[in-house]
Amino acid sequence: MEPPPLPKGKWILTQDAFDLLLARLDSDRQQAGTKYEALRRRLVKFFEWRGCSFPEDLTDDTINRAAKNLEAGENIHDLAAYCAGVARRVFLESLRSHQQEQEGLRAVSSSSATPTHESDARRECLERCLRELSPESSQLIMKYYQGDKQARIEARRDLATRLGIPLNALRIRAHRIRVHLEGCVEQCTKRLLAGRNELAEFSL
Amino acid sequence: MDSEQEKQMAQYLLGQLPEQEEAELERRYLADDTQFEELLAVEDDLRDAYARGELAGPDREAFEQRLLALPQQRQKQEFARTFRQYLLEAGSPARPLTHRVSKWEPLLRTLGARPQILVPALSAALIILIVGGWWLERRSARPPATGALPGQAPAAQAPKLPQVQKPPAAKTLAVVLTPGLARGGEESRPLVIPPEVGRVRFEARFEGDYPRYYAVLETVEGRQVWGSEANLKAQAFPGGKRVFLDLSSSMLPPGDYILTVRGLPASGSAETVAEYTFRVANR
Repeated sequence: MEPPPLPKGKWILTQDAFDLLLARLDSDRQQAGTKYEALRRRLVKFFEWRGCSFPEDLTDDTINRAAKNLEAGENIHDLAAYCAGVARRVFLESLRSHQQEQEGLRAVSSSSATPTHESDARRECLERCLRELSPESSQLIMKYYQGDKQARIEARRDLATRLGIPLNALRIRAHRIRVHLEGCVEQCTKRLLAGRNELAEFSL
Repeated sequence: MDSEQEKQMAQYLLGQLPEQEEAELERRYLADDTQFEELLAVEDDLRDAYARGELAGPDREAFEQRLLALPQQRQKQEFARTFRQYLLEAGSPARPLTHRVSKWEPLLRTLGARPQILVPALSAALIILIVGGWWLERRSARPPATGALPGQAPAAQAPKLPQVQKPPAAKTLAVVLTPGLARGGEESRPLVIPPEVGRVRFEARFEGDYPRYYAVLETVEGRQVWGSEANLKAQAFPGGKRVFLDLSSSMLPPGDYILTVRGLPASGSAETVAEYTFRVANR
């Protein structure tokens, strides 16, 4: 039995097209996979920072278009730079619907407030996750983010000098520890709240 | 990255860059992981600045429109708020860092042990040894029970371990602040926070008509002790308006403080609506 015909103009990413895309990123399949994930992450943030409501969908659209053009034989030297151009076009095309969605989302975000039990759980998890960091990472992140404006700038310079790394390398290092901490806190918070909800249901 | 680049990245995130510069920056970070991570680090700093109430006027509006619109962004902001609160408390002289490195940790790490399990387990073992030793000593030193029949050995009694007292649940102290009246000055008493109080809830009363507010607590020397998020909503009541502010009692060692409440207009800079001074006295 033959599959139903595709809607007119709709292009589906095939395995061959995806393989071609990966091969263009790197000849080594594993490296290509890593580069693909990195490119995807950057595109998602691009759409997020541009204020789009569905950055993941628009990223898929961007990658699909790039893969389609690659399969059609377009000569693309730098795939990441090419995707950047496609992403801007995708963004501009969706601009009108973004504005309508943004109105709705703004109304939601200004009226919502984090419940106290969730804030308490997050705080408890932050303390737990900080204890799980290595002493070096914990001290780095505390020194990097603590203090008021001027003190923080000076502390960062001192820290970079002590570690023997440039300031931008320190910035990236602190950011990576923070990302790891954020992930730990969010997972812990979800588990804690789920556990407390179960307990509440049980006592009822 | 120099501070000019950092400033440019912050402007990009707030949607304030001219189109050509914006496109150029996007080309750079979409092609380069290092540039991308630096931009993410600038986003972290912007989130922290918002959490501290440092963004005002157009910057604050732009931040809320572009970096608080999505659920994942609001989740990141919640982390920034929680982390900032933790850092403020950790920086307070009354309360040192909660991450205490046990003296056993370096040795245990060398042995490949997991300090998180072994340190509490060893501590528990030490407590059992101490209590057990105390019990044995008491048992051997105890005089014979009175009322025993002549010739009979006194009946053995079950040992009594010391009672472990559960710490009482932390309480909240409610404090009402009225502008212009110095609490702890000649007209009123200082604030005494009992040891069992874990949290202080300030009810700051004022007159004003702003959509949102934020509050900052400083020592009289100007050191910031605490700051709220820039989205406090005031409650109307017969005397005017009020906001409720919850602080951990550990952030209020004895001393003199100034609490400032600022109103955030729809556009423009924040304006001070009320200032309160109070003194925390020794418990």
